[in-house]
Amino acid sequence: MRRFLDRLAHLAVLLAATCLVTMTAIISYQVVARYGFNASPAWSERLSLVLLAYLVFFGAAAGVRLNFHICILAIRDALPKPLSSLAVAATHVAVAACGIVILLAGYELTSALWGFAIPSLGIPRGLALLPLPCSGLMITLFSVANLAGFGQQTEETSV
Amino acid sequence: MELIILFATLLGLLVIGVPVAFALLISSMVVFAILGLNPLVAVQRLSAGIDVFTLMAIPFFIFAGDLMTQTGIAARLIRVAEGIFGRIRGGLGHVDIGASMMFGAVSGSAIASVSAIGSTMIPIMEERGYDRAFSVNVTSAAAILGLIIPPSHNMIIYAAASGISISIGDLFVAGILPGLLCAAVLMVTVSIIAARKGYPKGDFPGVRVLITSAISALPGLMTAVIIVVGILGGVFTPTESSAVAIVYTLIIGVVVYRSLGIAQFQAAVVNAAKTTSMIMLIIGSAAAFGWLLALLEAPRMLSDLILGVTDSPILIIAMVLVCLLLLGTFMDMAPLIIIVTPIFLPVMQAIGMDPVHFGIIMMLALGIGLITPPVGTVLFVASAVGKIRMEETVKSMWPFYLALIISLLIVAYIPQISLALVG
Repeated sequence: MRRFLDRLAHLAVLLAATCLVTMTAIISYQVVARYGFNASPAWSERLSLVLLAYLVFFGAAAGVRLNFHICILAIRDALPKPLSSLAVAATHVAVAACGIVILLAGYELTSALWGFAIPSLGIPRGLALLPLPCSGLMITLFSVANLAGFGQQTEETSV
Repeated sequence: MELIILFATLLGLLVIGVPVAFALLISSMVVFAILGLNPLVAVQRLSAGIDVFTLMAIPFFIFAGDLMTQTGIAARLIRVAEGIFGRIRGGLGHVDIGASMMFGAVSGSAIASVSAIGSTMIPIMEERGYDRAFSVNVTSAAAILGLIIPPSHNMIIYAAASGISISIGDLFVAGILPGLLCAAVLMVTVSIIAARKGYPKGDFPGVRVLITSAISALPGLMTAVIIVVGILGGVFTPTESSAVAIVYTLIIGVVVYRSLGIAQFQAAVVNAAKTTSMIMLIIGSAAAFGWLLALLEAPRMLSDLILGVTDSPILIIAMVLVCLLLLGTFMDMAPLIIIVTPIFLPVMQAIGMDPVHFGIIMMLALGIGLITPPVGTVLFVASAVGKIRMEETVKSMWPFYLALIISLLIVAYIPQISLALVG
């Protein structure tokens, strides 16, 4: 189970990293096209923003498993052990609840807008919102696993 | 009442250790439910909060900074700073400040600065007889310069959060003189401490070494020039300039410095993806939170409250500075910029302050928050890099807090320092 969760989190980071590299290539191409060929592509900015949503929501979900989100731990760490354990459990429950809302609301938004196309790209609007329910599902899964004791990884927080 | 519930829920969640991004979102969802609004709107605001083209510059700036760190530019910048400042008493403290200032110009990140400069400078300083706590103090305080010296992705967040049209190019230029001022005030502080503690002067490596180091560091420093000049000259949008900076960094890392291999590239891109997703989720969540604040008319209420107490611009600026400094001590910079900009900016505009000037004040005030406990991310990383307890770092930090607060007051009350180069 742990291996599956870790692989899923690393896969999400890999997808986020791929989106970042692709976005860089697209916007660089936009500059080259404007100055080199005198023709700025109409799709580049919109497509990059779609990729940004995938980057953010998949990466953020992985952060729940890989433990790289910013949080304030000074107060919790100063609490007596039983209280701090309770606070840790409450944190996982709160994040899981948030994941469920993102999953449900994201699903509703995605399905509601699936029939509408993004004009400059010709792809369904829902495709740009698809990372929301996927991220909600992963956040819920990772938080429940953390709560059940399937070892959340401990990475240094990086900004 | 809803406002009290909103802030009480947020505070409660933060205290028990819920990540900032989720705490903002959950507290918003709770109040959405109380107001009878569909929580779907909160998720919609979260999604819309990051669906902004200008904000796309943030992942690119972070990626460019991570790539630049991987090229080993920090060591080159330290050599240049050593050539310039090494001979002054307490020279290594000045070298740390000079190198952090230059590193800020190529990375724009206080955390990257504290890790890159600190991991090299702190051991050298200790080896040459400087207190470890002092080394960590200087490195942490100097890292703040990266937030003000352009380019700075936090300025982009401010421009996006302002809700009005603020030129990112103007913000970048406005940061130059305040950044230099802060560096000068920090250097005076280092000189005073060095004289009292008898820290040594360094050796001047010679003009030839200085010129060679400067030539070696120049391609890296050009990144900042490309970004700032590219934006000001209307050649690129901020987003394009940051993407071009990535391509440029790749080229100089592979061709000129020959220090950027596949492993370094992978490390940079993975780190940038993680950092971006974390920061952008906070920005999206803060957008939902900020939308709710606007709905509950928090900005108008605060504006009425402050203007009801006094109409003296000097006092109003002082009150806002105190609020920013206090808020900065327990919350991170990005969410605070998103939340407080729409609240404080109208007040400052009402007393005639230029939004660009206020942006610089905010960067500096919230930057100080990054090196103050309980939540001081830069202080935390600097202490970890220096292998010293945070409490010990804080004990000897007060001269640097004083220096930065003096700089903040000068920047806040003399707008010309920020605006002289603008336009």
